[in-house]
Amino acid sequence: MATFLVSGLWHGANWTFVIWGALHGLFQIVEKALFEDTIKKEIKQGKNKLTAIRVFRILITFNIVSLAWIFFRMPTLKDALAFIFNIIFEFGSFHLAPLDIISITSLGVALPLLILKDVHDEYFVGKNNEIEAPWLKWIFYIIVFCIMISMGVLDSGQFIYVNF
Amino acid sequence: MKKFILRILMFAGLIAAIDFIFGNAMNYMHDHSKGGGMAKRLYMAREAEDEIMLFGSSRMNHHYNPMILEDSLGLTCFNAGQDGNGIIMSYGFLEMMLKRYKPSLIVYDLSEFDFTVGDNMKYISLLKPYYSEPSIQEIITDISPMDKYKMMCSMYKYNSLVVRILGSYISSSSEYQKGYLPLGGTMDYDVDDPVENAPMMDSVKVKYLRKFVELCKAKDVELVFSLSPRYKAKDSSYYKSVKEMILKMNVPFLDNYSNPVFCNKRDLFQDQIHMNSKGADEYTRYLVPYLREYIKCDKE
Repeated sequence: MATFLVSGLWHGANWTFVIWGALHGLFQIVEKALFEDTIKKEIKQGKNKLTAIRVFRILITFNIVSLAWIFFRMPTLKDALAFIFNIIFEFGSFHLAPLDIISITSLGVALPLLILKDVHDEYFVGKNNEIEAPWLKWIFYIIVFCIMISMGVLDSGQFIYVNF
Repeated sequence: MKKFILRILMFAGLIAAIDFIFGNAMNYMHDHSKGGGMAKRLYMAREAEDEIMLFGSSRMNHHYNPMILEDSLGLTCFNAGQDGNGIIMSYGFLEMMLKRYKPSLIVYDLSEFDFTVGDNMKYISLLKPYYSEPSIQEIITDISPMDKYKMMCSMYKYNSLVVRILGSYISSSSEYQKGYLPLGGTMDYDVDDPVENAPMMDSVKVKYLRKFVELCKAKDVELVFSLSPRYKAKDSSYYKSVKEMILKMNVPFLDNYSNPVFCNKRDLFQDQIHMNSKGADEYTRYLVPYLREYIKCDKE
């Protein structure tokens, strides 16, 4: 808890960051208290199959982390609580913005990479993944370098922590 | 050691070659953008000859309907507003436009991006594709002196723009209507009255505000500053310092920030800062008689 409180405070002198950190600390404590043995068993058995329990746990994790992000991003505690109150009690209209060409292009680039990663994790985990051929290594290094320069966060204009 | 240095040189050479090819490909695709924001900005920089030009941030982009101004004032109009951007980017595009032609009227919708302290690096990213223009080089190196060297690398020049350029090159679909982007939603929640603390002025942004005004005066272009409505705004005290500065430069200022005709009507807003299309149409129509005063006589 101390670690996460300090991690929250590091982001800024605002109660919202402290609460964000505290929530993550709390989630970690609850997880270790209730599920540590189960998780250790799964790791030992190398279980990575998508069971119903696992899907449920993924959904819970996603939602509680998203909840914590509300505190991180809102300017004041009052705003964060009002935001959560509205989620629970104010039923506004569901609005899905239409996909524009930029979003479609981004998905076209990101989805294949995601699928590639999932295929690798499913079928190639544990196998020797090291690239051996020098020319292949060079291609890999060049591609990574180019991606870093053309798509990386290179200036403070994009760096989300610039305000901290 | 010799082998290592040789490998480094080979790597650098390959990167330089790829950068050259990448740069040419990006330049081509950028200059042939068909849709989206890229095409809008390309039009602004290279083709626009509209008699009324509208500049500003998202509040300009979503609040001013150029078709209404065209119908009412009998002059062509284009909305050059850009979400998340302000005076620094606008000044760059103004320079490129005024090199080619002289509009009859420029309306600038003021926002916090035009004068408040904040990181200025983000305002030059959309100017980088136009780095070949001397005026743009000056702006970029003023904000970020090291960019003089970094911009030699095309991959850096087009950093974070690759997907946008690709998308704009592939598809001509665009939600823009003469640069204007109408917002469809309506606020279905209420908010407290906004609390706006007195802002700290950013000297760089203020410099570009002055340059914007001076450039319009030098080219004899009529310029009007405007503050469009904000939901539940009680007054425009947040803008007091910058408004005084602009008025001292003898530039007209239309202040509708807390105009009760709009500010208390939730159905005219998509969120507390942005009007929806219904609000934009009503507000634009409201502005017409005021803007008519500033159109140069020889165009009436």
